[in-house]
Amino acid sequence: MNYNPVIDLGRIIYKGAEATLYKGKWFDKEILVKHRIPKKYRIEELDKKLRRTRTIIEGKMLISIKKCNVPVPQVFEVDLNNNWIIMKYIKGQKLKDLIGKIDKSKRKWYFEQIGKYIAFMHKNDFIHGDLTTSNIIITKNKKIFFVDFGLSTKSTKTEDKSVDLHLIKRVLLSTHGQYFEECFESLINGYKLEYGSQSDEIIDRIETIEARGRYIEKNKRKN
Amino acid sequence: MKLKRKICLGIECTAHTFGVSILDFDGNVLSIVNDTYIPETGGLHPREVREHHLECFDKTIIMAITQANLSIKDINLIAFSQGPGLGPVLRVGALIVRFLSQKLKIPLVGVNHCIGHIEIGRLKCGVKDPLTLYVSGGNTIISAFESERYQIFGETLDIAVGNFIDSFARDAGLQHPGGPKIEKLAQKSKKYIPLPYVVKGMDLSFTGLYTAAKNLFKSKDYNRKYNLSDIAYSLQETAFAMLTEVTERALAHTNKTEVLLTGGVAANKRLQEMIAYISNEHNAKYKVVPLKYAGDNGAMIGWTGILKYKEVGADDIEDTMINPKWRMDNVEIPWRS
Repeated sequence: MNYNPVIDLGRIIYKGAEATLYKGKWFDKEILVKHRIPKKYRIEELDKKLRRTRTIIEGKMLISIKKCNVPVPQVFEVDLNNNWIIMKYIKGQKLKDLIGKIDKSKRKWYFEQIGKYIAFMHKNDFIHGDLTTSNIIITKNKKIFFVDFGLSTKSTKTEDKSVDLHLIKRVLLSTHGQYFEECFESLINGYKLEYGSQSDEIIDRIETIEARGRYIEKNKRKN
Repeated sequence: MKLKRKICLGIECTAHTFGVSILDFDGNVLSIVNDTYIPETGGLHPREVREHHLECFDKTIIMAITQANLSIKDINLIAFSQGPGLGPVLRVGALIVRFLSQKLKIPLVGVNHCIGHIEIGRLKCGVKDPLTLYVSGGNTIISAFESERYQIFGETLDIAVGNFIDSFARDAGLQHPGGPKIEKLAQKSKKYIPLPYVVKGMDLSFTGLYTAAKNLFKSKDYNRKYNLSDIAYSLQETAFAMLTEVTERALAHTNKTEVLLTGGVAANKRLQEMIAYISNEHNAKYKVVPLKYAGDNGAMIGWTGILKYKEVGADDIEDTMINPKWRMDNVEIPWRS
């Protein structure tokens, strides 16, 4: 790791699949350092390329998405020598861990908000690329934050926006099966409210994408 | 000595392998016999595979029963692969087992092929609740048990990884199955040529990679700037890094403490090394299913059939229709709830 004089890395707070998160100090601010760590299972050449491009993409995306009023952590610095993104520390819980602990009306409210924010991103042609309940953080005063933009892209295509919705639908089905109906319905409601009539095409396309999947039967599964 | 234990005949018939296995209800495998169709040229043509299975099924079944030192009368249950797979091939399997079941009055259960892969892995590798990476010529699935089903967390959006490697091998003039040959070639090279790396969330795509690899082979730089070993090395490194990344992400997402690697491609040493590495990093127990049980075989079908039969009993003959597009996350798993 290269030396960076203004950052105090502090301590590791989370080890994810792709990155290690540190809670530290940048001047006197509480920060989160997202360090894309080398992955020794893949060859160095590929590893370097993937880490560097994803760090650049994530940094850029966080900055431009913040400009269109989607709540994401503020970026202070992108350090490409270390593959670090230095951003504001957000104290909260993953939606994944919270989802079973709150009552139905709360859940509906959260997912409607999430739907609205996704519509915000999509209206501005930002595609998250990895929407899961692990990548959404809820703070104590009920604010919603989106994180993990390493796979995000800019696109005007209906297809890409639908894939984004399809991804979160799939996560809800597989990880939170018992809440699927209420959560996804609220999410789509919020999305429609924010996006307006143009969203119909995007939402209709989810089915087309699903039907393209492997081993799909015509009659859709119920739960 | 009189046999008290109950015996199951498991029949796998979804693709190139006609597999038969005899096992008892405690999961002891008494015999396992496979007859695999290997095309002289090209890939698997469903009609030709069907002809092959029709010719070999009786000998294979008799051999399995003989090797287990039993007679057909000792069998208490027949399990067969109901799907997913090649339609004409599945139909042959279903035809055979329905006949046996009705003629000999033995109960019959249909089994999902993909779930068979996971269940035999759980039985033979001593894992209880693994995250499974199932990679073969027909499937590429990352799955774990959640909400009473084997949920699919990630899968290929187009062709399976084994299909991709075999297809490239075939284009490069290697005989089917190409996977082991590509693996050998790859060991000779250390020269990486950049290839498309396509990961969408936890899903994967291999068609772009296939086209790019094929173009490298057809390019005029071939055998000047690089050779077949270099392409083999690069395509393995790219495809397996994609698989490993997605598996790692699913592992972090599900918090499972065990990782199971299965399917035909699981035989690849490089892939094993990569999956073992990430399992270790996340303090998860890593197991690779031995090749005998990782490739298509009758034992996995038999064992899953036993599990199902113990919980819900046999299928009615009307319920034994084949299902070539049967997703594993559509199957209820009563024996684990």
